[in-house]
Amino acid sequence: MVRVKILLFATLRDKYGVREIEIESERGDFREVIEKAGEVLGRDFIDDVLTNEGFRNDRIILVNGRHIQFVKDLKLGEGDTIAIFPPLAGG
Amino acid sequence: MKGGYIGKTLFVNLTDGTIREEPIDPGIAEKYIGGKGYALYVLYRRYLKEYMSKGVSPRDIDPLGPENVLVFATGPITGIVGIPSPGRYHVMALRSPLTGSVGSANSGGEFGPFMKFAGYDMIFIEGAAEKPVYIEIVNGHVDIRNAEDLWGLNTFTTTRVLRERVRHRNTSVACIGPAGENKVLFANIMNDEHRAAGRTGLGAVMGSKKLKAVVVAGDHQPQVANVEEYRKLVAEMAERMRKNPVTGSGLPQYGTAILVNIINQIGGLPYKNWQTGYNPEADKISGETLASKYLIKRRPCWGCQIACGRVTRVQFGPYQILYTEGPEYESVWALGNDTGVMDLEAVIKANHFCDELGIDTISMGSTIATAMELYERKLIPEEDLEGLDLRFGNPAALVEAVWRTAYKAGFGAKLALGSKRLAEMYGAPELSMSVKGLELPAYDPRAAKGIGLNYATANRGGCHVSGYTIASEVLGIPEKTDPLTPTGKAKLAKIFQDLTSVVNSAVNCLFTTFEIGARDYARLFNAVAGYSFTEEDVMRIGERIYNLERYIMSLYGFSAKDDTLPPRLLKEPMPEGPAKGHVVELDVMLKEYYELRGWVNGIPTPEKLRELRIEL
Repeated sequence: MVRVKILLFATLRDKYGVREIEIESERGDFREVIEKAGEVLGRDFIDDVLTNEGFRNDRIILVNGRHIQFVKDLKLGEGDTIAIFPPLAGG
Repeated sequence: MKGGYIGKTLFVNLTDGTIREEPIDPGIAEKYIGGKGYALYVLYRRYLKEYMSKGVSPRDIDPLGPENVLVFATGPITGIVGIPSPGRYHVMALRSPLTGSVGSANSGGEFGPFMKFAGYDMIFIEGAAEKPVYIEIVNGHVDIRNAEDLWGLNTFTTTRVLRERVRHRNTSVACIGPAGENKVLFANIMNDEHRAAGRTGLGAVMGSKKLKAVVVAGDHQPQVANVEEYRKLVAEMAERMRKNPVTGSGLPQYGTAILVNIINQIGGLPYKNWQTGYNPEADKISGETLASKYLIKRRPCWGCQIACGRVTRVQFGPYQILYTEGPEYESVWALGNDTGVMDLEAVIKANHFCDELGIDTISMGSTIATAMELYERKLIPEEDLEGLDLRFGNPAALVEAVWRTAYKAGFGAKLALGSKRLAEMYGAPELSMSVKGLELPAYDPRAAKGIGLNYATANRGGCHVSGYTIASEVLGIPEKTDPLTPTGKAKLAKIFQDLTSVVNSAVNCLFTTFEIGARDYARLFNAVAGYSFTEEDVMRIGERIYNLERYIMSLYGFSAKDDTLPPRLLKEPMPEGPAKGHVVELDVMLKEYYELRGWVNGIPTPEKLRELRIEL
C-alpha cells in the first residue's frame, strides 16, 4: 500500500473544488491511482486524465515534477506526487 | 504600399527641433516587414553607417547621449481590426544603457494602433532637448511641446493630463515616470497607464533626451490589400483562437500568472536570487490566488480577443490599492518569488509602484534579490542601506526599495544601476543573475535547458521572449520536448528566435503563436499588405532580422564571449526538486547553435549575411 498525492491546478481546481487529495493505492499503478481518485472526485476526473490507451496528451501531467511522457517507470511509490494542469501558457 | 502600412515614417530631431517625414520604403518593408526589423535596418543604414563614415566607432556611442536614436515602431498588421491581438508596438534604440547592446522592448495597450491612426508607421527620435518636451502627433500634425510642467509627474498623471489636452477619442500616451527622468538604467516606457515597453532601459533613453512623452491621436485607417481573403482569414483565425484552450480560456481566465505553479512544480521557479528552483509556498502568489482574491476584471489590449490583462485591487491593509493592473507572471516572480516575498498584496503594490514610477519589474525584482543575497552574505555593509532591511522575504523593504530606486534615494541610487553593476560594486559579480547585463526572467534553465541556450544567445540579453522554448519544453506547444535534455534545443531556440523576430516586426502579440505559426503569418501579410510570402519566406525574414541585429551587436564589441550564463546556472547543481543535480550544458548546445546559425565566434559570417541578402 502506497500513498500518492494528486495536485490540481487552474480550471481543474475550480471544477473539482480541491487543491489536492491523497490516494491510497495497492499496486502504485498510475491508472489505478487516477481511477481511485475518480471514486472521490467523480467519473469526469478519470476522463479528464486518462484515455483508453493511456493518458490525455492535452493535459499537462507531471509525476514528481517530470512530464509523464518522459517518465520511464510509471510505478508510483510512497509520497509520490502527480500534478495535473489543463492546457495553459503565459510568458 | 498595397495595404497594412500607413506609408509614412516620421523623424523628429530634439536637438534642433526639425521634423521630417519620408514614405515607407517598399523594398525595405518586403525584406524586414516593419516594427523591429524595419527599425533595425534604418538604425544601421542611416545612423550607424553615418557615424562610422565620420570616424565615430559604434563602441563610443553613449546610450544616454544625444547620438542614441529611439524608435517607436509598428508593422503592417498593427491596428488592423479582426487580426488576432493587433494592439502591440515595438521600441528600439541604437544602444541600451543597461546592456550596451541594441535596445529593444515591446508593449501592448492602445499606443501601437493609435500611432498608425495618427498617421505614422514609425517614429525615429534623434538628438536631445535642452529642456523637457513632449511630442504630440494628431492626424499627421507634429509638434514638439514644452513639458516642464510635466517633468516629475508619475506615468499615470502624465497620461491623464496629456489625454485631457488632446481630447481625441483615439488618444494614447507613451511616457516616462521619475525613474526615466532620473535615468535609472532599467527605467521603462509606460503607455496607457499600465502597459510597459519594459526591458533594456529605454525609459532612461527618453529621460536622457528630456523627452517626457509621445502623444498620438488620429483617424487614419490602414487599408487592406485583399479584402476578400482578409475577411476569410480573420473569421478563421478568430475561431481558432477561441477554440484553443490556451488563448480561448486559460489566458483570459487566469492571466499569465497561471504559470507560477507549473514552473514551480517542474522545479524551475527561481527562488531567492536563484539559490533554488522550488518554493513550497509558491501557490500563495499564483495566478489562481490572484484570480480568486484580487481580480476585479480583465482589460484587453486594443482589438485583442484573448484579454489576458488583469485589473486588480487590494482592498485593505498596508498595501491597499483600489485600482491597479497586473501583476503579470514575470512581475509576480521577480518581485515575489525571487525576493522571497510571499505576500501577494506587497507584490501587487510593488508592481503598482513600478508602473507608476516607470520601472521594469523584472530588472527591479531581480536587482533587489541580488542585493538581498549580497546583504545576507554580509557583502553590503549595514550603513550603505540607510535603514533598508534587505533580508529575503521582507515585504516592506521590497515596496520601499522600488520608490527609492526611482528617485535614487539612499541605497536606491545603487539599485538603479541594475544587478550587474551592483554585484560588481560589492565584489561578487557572480551574484547578478543576468546575461549581457539584462536580468534573467522567471525560468531556471537548469530545469528547462533550451531556455538557457536562448538566454545566452538572445540578442537583447537575458530575455525569455526572444525565443520562448518554454512553450515546447514545459507547455507542450506545439509539441512536447523533454525539458531536462540539451538534445535538439539548438534547433528549437533558433526557430523560436526567428519566428519571434517576425512577430515583433508584424507587430503582433507573441501569445498568438500559441495558435498561429509562420504559415499563418505569411497568409496574414499577403492578405493585409499584398505580399506573396510563403511560410519559408517568413522564417527567412525572421532569420535575416535576427542576423542583422547580431551583426550590429558585433560592432559594439559583442561576440561569443558574451553568449554565456551566470556561473550559478553552469556550475551549481540545482539543490532540490525535479531538476535536482542539473546544471545547464551550455557548451554543447552553443556549438550546435552556432553551426545552425552559420556564425563564427558568435557573429554572422560575411557569407551568412550575403546568403540572407543583408546589405551592409
